[in-house]
Amino acid sequence: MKLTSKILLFAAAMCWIGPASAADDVAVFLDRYCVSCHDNDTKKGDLTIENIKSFKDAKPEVWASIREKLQLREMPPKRKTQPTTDEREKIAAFIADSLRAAGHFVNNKLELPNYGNRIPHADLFGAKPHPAPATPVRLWRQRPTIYAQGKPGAIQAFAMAPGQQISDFSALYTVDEGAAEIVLNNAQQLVERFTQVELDNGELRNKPGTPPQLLPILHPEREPALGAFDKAVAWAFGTALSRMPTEEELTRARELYDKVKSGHGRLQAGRAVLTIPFLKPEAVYRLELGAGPLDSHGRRRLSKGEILVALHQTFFDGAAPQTIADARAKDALATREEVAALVKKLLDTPKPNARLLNFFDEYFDYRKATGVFKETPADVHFNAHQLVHDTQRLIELIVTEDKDVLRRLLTTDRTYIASQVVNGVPSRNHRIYNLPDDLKWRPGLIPLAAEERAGILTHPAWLVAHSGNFDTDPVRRGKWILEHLLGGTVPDLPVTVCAFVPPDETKTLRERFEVIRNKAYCWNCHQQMNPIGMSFEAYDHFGRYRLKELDRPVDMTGAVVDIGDPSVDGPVSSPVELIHRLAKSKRAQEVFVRYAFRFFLGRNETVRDAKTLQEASQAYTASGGSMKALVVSLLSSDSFLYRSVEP
Amino acid sequence: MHLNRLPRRSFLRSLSLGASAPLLSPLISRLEAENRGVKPMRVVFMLEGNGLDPRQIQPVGIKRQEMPNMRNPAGQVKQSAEDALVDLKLSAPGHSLSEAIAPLSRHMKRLTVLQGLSGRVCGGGHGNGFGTLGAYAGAAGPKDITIDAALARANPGIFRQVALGINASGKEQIIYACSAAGPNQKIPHYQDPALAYRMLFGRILGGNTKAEVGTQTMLLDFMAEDVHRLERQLPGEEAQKLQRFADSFSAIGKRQSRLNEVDPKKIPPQRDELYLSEVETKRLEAQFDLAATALIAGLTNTVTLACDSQNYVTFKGLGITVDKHTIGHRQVEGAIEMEVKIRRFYTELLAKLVDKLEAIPEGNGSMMDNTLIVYLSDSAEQHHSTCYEWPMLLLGNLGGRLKTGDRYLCVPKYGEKGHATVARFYTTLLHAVGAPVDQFGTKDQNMGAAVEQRGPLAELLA
Repeated sequence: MKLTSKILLFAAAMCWIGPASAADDVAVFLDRYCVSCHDNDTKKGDLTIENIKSFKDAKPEVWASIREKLQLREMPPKRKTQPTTDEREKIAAFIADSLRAAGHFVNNKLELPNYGNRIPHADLFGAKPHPAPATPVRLWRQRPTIYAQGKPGAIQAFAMAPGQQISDFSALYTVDEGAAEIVLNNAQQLVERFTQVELDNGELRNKPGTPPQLLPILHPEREPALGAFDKAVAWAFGTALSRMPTEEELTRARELYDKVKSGHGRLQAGRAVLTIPFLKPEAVYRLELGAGPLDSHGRRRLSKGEILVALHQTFFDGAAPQTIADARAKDALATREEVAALVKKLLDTPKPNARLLNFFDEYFDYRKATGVFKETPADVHFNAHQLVHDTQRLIELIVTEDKDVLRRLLTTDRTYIASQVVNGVPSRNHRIYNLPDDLKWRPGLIPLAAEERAGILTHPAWLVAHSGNFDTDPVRRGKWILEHLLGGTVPDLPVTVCAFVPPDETKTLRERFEVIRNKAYCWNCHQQMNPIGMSFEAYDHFGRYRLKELDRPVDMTGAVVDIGDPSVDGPVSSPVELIHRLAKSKRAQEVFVRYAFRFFLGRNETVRDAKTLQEASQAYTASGGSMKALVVSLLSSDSFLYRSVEP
Repeated sequence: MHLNRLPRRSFLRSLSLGASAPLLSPLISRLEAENRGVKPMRVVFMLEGNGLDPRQIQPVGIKRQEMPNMRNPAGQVKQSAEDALVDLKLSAPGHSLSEAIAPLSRHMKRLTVLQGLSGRVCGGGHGNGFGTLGAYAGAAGPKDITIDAALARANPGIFRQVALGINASGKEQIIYACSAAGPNQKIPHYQDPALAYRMLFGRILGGNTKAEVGTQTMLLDFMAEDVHRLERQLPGEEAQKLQRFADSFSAIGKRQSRLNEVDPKKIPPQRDELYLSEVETKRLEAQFDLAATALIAGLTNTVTLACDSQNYVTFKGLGITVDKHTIGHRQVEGAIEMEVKIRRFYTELLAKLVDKLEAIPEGNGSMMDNTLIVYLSDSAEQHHSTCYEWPMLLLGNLGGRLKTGDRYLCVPKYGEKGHATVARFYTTLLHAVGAPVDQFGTKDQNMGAAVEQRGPLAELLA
């Protein structure tokens, strides 16, 4: 079919869902990148788009799938000509608009935490950055811990989604009917608790727990004076939202009071009014609208109040510390430097900030070791909780010292080993670390064999967390490194795949995995994960270093394949060699910065954030590997401080 | 003078006489509905994790043609290989229920063993998430409404739907597991029975006074308006988040004003030994108890019970020390025996639920006559599901709207003429409740044209 006639047909038929120029773009795009495989003759993957002349000609699920493959960069195949990021985004957005216009749901996987790496690394660190990064205007549902704060006895209305690389992402959560019902219930219980009063000879008294300034609004017979009414409402706003009500909010509260009063009396009216701030969207969402003026890049800067709420919820699960209260009173936060100074002050504590440590928990994902069921080995003490504790303490130490953080986490050959004495017998995991039976235990750092261990990824906690119930798991181990240090991607497990390696007691796991190696269909997705993960066969599924499996020498060779960075690509003779190579690489540091961005910004980075990422990485390097410097840079960046109306 | 509300129980007692007239109303409305020829309809879904092995529900005395699973040929769980529909009476001579589901023998007349449906579109693997009830690929989140919510929408109660469950940790009070009211609209499953009891029945037992209802309605209207004011400042998807928040307040307000229709006498006191227990089996028993109460009190017409959300529950109450996930992998000794033991426990809970609904008269029969219970696994036929098969048990016939009861039904194998998908079964249910659609969920694109994927199943729809 001639290209021109096809474009015309397509454009004519698609213009009803958008501007004709965009419809042209779709036609040109499909013709240039897709039709050579998906034509009527080749029909690759049982899909032909040669006959698609308009939006109507393909089912919505086909459009959705085309869009997803483009957006997630799963198509065109790697060895074919690739569209630019800009082209991909435009076409994906156009198809999304058309789907929405036709009443279909568009699942934006690119916004979900496990898909962050789909933006190519080179687009973020290799290209000239956009001058004005920003986060789209958003509502970010509060973490359960933030919501619970200041609400003793409240039911937890929110949950975190399991299985996410970063759990607190604004795109993951909304408050709908089920949660709203609990929020309402909590609000009413709370208000009931602090409005306990009794009449004594016509005089209203507050019971314990009821603040006296609420009395005027709770009197069953007397009308509250305007000033007293405002004070009571202000108290509730301060308690629920840490701010004063606006004039308009006070007026509207008064209207509600009068309405309820005329139907159901003053006490009910007073209670209703006091409940308002506990039900406002900002009582459940972190509202980030940007109160500043619109700039030439279509952005608004967050107001001082918004910045303080954002910093509070970023760094704390409990009440805001004095530093934030002081900043509210004193700081202007009008410049990047002022925000940076505040962030620095917040992080400058003797013990590391708990949320900063949470980042490392989520990044390394080692704590789930306690949830991996294993039969207790007969010959050696194994306690996953203690192993997790060891790794946690090491992270805390390195983050406290705040020098060369990532490299040290990845390469240190020393660790803590937890010790408990149960019935006079020491209970320690040292044998899991391959330390001698008669180890002279001490509470500080204990050296491990440098040829056997290098940092967190060789810690039993991490190895167990990334293992199965009965076996090691080279796929999970390889996937973690591919994604978290190399910025690689792994496609979703296809509908047609049942991931299962048949058991065979005569074969090593590496041998059993040959079935995957031998099927092109499997290998397509596994070719990058498995060669990395296989070198970790040096550790058994309890995290013990081993030289033999089934009485045969363990093959601990592996490779980094096809990352496109000569400093990391290539074969390795052992996991320790692999880790040392990655720890030295710029690539690993940059990918680490990407993950930190996701954690602290609550969303995936986009091409527009390149400047923020590059600056954060530079700040980290310039400071000699200070995590605090990295976070200060991220949280004083335009990405953090500005909101764009258009995504 | 004491201005606080009276303690709830005494308040309730003081009202009981005067309140008896309005309390008749659910009964009256039910009678009115029956006079109009509309019989009530109730549907209960019960989901378990880790797969429902088709052999474990296969009745003794009925042979099943099997072949290796098309995706996992080496696996233990074989796939149905029937060339034509098999339709037999469960109660025929020589037939009996398998050990795993034997507790349902006393309800054989209501039971249908439904084998051979497929749900390949759901994706398979460890659980199909929202796809199980949505008939779409739903592991990453809800793409659309799930069948339980769709049935609830067609046949709403005061509470549109009651969603309950238990999970491994016992710490989460709610989780979002398998039900959705629409794209990305997850429905919370209450994991804490005591909390669910309070949320469902608290107000009813507290009297739900006119002042309380009136005040709350005004407050919720006010809040909905408050949210709308903010919504105008936001772009597309974020505005939708607010819209949903506002809609929630409106819906809760409407529901609260209807709670007076419910007779508090139909709500038995909370049994603390179950509701507050740390033992999973007890908490699950509490959730079944709650489900029965909500149905009997007329609070809802749709219940979804997620028996072991996230697949990691350890049934210590049954003397089992291995979690269900590990059992599902079948790499511990005695895994199948443990599965059977757990399944017997589940089916005993189901049988008791049927007993309770049978004990409540309705029309010329009982509440159970107008009820359908669907038991399936969110992991289809095995722990690492392939969804070539999705075994199910049905109890009841939804007031004669379905041709179910005392039946063993196995549809022809995957791809064979006459084969049917789970999506088509759900389509059938929507037809049964009078909310017909041409096709629920996603079409299986890999299935040949020989297999009809649209419209209700004639074998099931009365």
